[in-house]
Amino acid sequence: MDVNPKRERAMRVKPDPIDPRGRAIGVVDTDFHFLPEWEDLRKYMREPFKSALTKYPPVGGDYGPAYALDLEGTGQETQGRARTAEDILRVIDQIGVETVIVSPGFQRPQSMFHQAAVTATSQAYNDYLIHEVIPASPRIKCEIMVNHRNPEAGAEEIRRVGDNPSFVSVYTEFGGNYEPLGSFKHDPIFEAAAERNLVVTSHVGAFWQQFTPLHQGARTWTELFGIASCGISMSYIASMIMQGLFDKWPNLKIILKEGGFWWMPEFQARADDFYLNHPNDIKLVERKLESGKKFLDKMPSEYFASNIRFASQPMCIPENMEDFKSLMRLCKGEDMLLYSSDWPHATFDPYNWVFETPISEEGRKKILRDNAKAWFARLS
Amino acid sequence: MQEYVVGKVADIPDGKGIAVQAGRRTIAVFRIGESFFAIPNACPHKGASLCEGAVVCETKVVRCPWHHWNWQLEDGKLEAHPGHGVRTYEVAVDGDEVIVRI
Repeated sequence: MDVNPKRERAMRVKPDPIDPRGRAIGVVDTDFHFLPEWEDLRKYMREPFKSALTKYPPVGGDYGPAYALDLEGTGQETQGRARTAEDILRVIDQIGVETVIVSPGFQRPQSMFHQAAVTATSQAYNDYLIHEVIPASPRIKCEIMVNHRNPEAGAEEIRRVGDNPSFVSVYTEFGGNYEPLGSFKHDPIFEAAAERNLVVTSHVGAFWQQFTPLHQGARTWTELFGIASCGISMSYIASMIMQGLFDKWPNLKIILKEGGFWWMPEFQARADDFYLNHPNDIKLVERKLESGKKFLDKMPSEYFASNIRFASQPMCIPENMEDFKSLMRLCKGEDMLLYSSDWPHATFDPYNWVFETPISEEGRKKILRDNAKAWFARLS
Repeated sequence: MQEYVVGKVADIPDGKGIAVQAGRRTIAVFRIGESFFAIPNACPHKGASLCEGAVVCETKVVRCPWHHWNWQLEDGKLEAHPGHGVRTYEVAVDGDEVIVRI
C-alpha cells in the first residue's frame, strides 16, 4: 500500500444495530419466547408431576435447525435465553421494545400425547408467570399456555388464570399431528377466550424428525420450517373460516405467528372461488349443524379483516422494493401486520426492516404499535 | 481513496472483530493471526453488527450474529451463495498500526 501522509484516525465505536427510530415509538413485540428453568417451573407444579417430572418432558426425536446452522446445540435459541423477568426486561431494552407479549418457550409439550403432563406443565408455567414475572413490570404481558389438545382442560386453565389483566392471549401451537385448530373440538378454548376478550394465538411448531406438518420425509430445515409452516398455517386458517368458527364467535380474534403472510391474496382468491363453486358441504360441519345455517355468513376472504392478524416475523423482503410495495398493498400489510421479533430464535427479526422499506410513517406506527394495541384488548 | 488508522495491532484480538467509524462509514475490522480484513459493519441482510459475529478462522468467515449468514472475509462473498456479497476494504499494517483504505 502506498503511504498516504494524510491519514485520518478512525474512531472505535460500538454500533447499536437496532434502528433508533423504533425506540421513540413505543414498540409492542407480539412474539418473544420465555423459557424459565425447569426447576423454577416445578415449584408451581402439582403432584404427582412435581416429584415425577424431574426434567423437561421427554419428546420423541427433537428436530431443530441444528444441521442447517453451523452452531452448537439445537440451533434454535441462538440469541440467548430469557429465564426470568429480569432477563426479559434486559433483552427488550436491547432490542428497542417497550411492551412485550411473552410466549412460552416450552413448545414441545404442546406436541406431546401425554395429556396430564402437558396440563400440569401449562398450569405451572402460568402460575410462574403470575407470581414471578408479571409483577416485575407492566411492560410484560403474557400468553396463557394451555393444553389445546385437551380443550376442556385448556378452557379450564383459561378460566382459572384468565382474569389476570396481564394475560392478553391464549397460546396454541399448530402442527400436523392432530386436527386443525379450527375444528369444533377446540370450541371450549375459543369459548373461554371469547368470554374474556382474549386473542387466540396460532403459533407454528410441532416438528419431529423430518416430519413436516404436511408430510413425512423432509430432509432440510427450509422445507420443514421455511415452507411447510406456511402450508399448515393456511390450512389452519381455512379450517377456522370454512368450519364456521367466526360465524359462531364473530368477535373472536386470532393472531397467526411464523406461518407466513404473503400467501394471503392467493388464499383469499382461491378460497372465495372454491367456496362459491362448492358451498353445499358447509351445512354439514358441526357448528353449522348446531346453528342450522347452510352457508358462511361472509365470503372467506372477508374474515381476514374482522378476525385474523399476522405477527410479522419472519419478514421475508423481496429485493425489488416495487415488489414489496405491491405485496404490502395486496396483503393490506399496514393493517394486518403486528410486529414480532421471535427472540431468541434463529429467525429473530428486529424491526429495522420497517424503516428500511417503503412503508408510510403512519403505517410504521401501526405495524410497530397501534395494530397490536387495537387487536389485544388488554393492551390499550 | 482515504486511509484511516484503525488502531494498534494489539487492539484487535486474534479471531475477533471491532467496529470503527471511518468518515461516513462504519467498518468492521477482523484479525485472523497476522492477517486483517475489513468489510462494512452492517450486515446487508437485516442490519446486524458484524463485528459482534463469530469468526471462523479456518475458513476466514465471519458469521452474522443474528441469522448466521457466513461472509467470507477475503472476497466478501456469502459462503452459501456467491451472488450475495459485501464490499471488502484494503487493510495493511504500518509499524504497529492497522490501516484501512477506503
